[in-house]
Amino acid sequence: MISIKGDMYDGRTSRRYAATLALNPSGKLSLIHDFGQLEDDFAAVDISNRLANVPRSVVFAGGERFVTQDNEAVDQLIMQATGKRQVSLLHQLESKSLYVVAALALLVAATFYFITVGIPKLASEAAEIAPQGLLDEISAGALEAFDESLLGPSQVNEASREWLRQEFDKMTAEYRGEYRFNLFFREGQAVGPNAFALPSGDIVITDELIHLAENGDEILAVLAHEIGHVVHRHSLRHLFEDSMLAILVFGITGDTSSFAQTAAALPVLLVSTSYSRDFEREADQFALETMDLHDIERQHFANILSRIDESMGESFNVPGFLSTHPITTERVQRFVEQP
Amino acid sequence: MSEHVLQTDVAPSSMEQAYPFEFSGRAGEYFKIWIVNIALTVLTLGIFSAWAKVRTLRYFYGNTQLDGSSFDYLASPIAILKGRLIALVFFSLYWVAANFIPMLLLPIMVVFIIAFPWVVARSMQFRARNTTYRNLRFDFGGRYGEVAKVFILWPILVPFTIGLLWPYVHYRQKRLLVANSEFGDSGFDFGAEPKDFYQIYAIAFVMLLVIPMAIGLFGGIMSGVSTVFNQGDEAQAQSVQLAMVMMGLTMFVMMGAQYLVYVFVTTRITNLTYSRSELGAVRLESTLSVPRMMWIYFSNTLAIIVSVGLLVPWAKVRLARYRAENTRLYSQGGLGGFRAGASQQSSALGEEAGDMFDVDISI
Repeated sequence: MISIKGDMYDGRTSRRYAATLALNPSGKLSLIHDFGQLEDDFAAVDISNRLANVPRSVVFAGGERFVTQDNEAVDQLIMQATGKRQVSLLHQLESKSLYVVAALALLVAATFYFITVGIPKLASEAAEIAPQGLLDEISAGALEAFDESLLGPSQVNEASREWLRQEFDKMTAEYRGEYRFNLFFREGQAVGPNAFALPSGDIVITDELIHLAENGDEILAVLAHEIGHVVHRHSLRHLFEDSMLAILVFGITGDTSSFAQTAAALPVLLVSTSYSRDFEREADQFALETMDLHDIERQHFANILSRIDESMGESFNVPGFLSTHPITTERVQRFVEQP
Repeated sequence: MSEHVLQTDVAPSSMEQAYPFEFSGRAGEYFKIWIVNIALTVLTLGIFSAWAKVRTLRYFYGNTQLDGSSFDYLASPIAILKGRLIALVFFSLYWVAANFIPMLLLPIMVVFIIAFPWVVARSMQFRARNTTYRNLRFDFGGRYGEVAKVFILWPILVPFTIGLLWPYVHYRQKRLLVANSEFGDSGFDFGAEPKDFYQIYAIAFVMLLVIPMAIGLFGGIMSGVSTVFNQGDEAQAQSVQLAMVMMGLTMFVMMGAQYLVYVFVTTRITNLTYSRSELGAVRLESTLSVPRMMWIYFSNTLAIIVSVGLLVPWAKVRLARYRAENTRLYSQGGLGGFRAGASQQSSALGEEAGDMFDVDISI
């Protein structure tokens, strides 16, 4: 017969009674304490699950609670009463080093897989099913906002614009069913030589970029890259990716504290810019294929890219792993080496 | 005469006995629970998180002892899961609205603001009622109206007073939390006054003024030194770079300084709140040291970063131990004299507790 020493609390006062719990041969649990004794069927009491060395509770039908540090004895008592070895599965997972190591390995692998494969894939699929109306909704107002704060009216002559529009229409003809594709000319001012695409298909190119180009094909190369961003829905995917990343970080650090979440900002930045670099590579690949299709020499993309890079100067050098774009020399390689 | 005064002063308090909190959790042990919790949460796509929360709180409560008895957390994971699902649905709606349908944002915010006090009151009640010590439950009786006033209406007024009202609002929030809490049939009393809060914030304000000035002076001297030593065109670029590094460094230090002030305020207010709270004839006391708390937070953060999160359990256990070591009760007649509250005696308690849900809100 097992008897376990512990304390009893009657549920009516905060008084503590020294008590002994025992399993009678009749199958009943009896609790003998300082001032008396009580008895219940084993099935009528509620025994808390084992959790590390946390004291175990046995609650009787009348609300009396027996508490003991002797977890092993409680397990034995349950075994005797039920005839089965009933050790909590969770407790086994938590107490065996092997399982703990397995959990750790699983976690590292799952996190790595989720970040490198899961998030980009989910974001891509979610972005794919987004209707044009949604893309327009996101883009609405963006150009007006840029015009107000960053961009000025273009000084480029109408003939150049007309030629670029025509070539742009040729390159985008294939995708017009899905996107509306408009080309806008603006003075870049602080933005400098640049081009960017809104999810709806609106593409903005700055005067500075047009002036930097030595021929029309170089500008078309940049436009092809921007069309790639639109067709692959990069803005929307980036939005989805960053949101999922935020949820993941909250999942990991959520129950700790705000300072751990602040500390996670750097890894988040690293992963987010890595996603961004993947998009740039994808857009480069798209530009490469589009240029081949329209008989524009690949070298032009390499040339304009290198020139943009030079014009930015060294003042703006961000280490590769922190940059939203891949290193220019790496990007240029693809347009020079591939046959 | 003075001896006589001394005697009457000392005599009652010498009968008062101190009961320190003790925390017996161990980092290695909690690490195993923590890692299994996370792994199972990942495998079940988040569903296990409710069970994880119960196990975590059971571990921390169960390892907190007072006068030889430990605390316990009895919440049902299902109730927590329900609360989390509701919160998830709500935040998904918010996310969709914020990113795609701005028109819906305002109605959602209105619903959120209306529901917020109710959620806060319910969550605190849930947490309190599921916390027991010596088989007696805690309870929280804050009502919707009070919570709305203290957590929404008062804070809205703060900007109109250029922040001067905030210490008072903070006081009201702490008073709401403490004065509406019960253990068994005894209510907590909150004895702190608004002026105590204003005092702490006044010191914090001075710290906020002085630290940036000191740092600014330091930064200015350093960049001045660098320009003096770097004359000439070639060195120009270098000195610009150095100035930028200094600027980055200064910003970093400023953020650190703000964080120090934040730790100062929370630590001092925790001490104040505990030390002015009473539960019947029992007095509470908290004696956290501000420098020690700063050190613990700082080294915990560093350890968590360096270990890519693996030292989170160690950090949490360490903080819990320090907090327990510096929290105690004083009582003249021991801790055995509390009686169960009305809610515990009613048989409907189980159902009622099951009906509630819990949303994690830390205040």
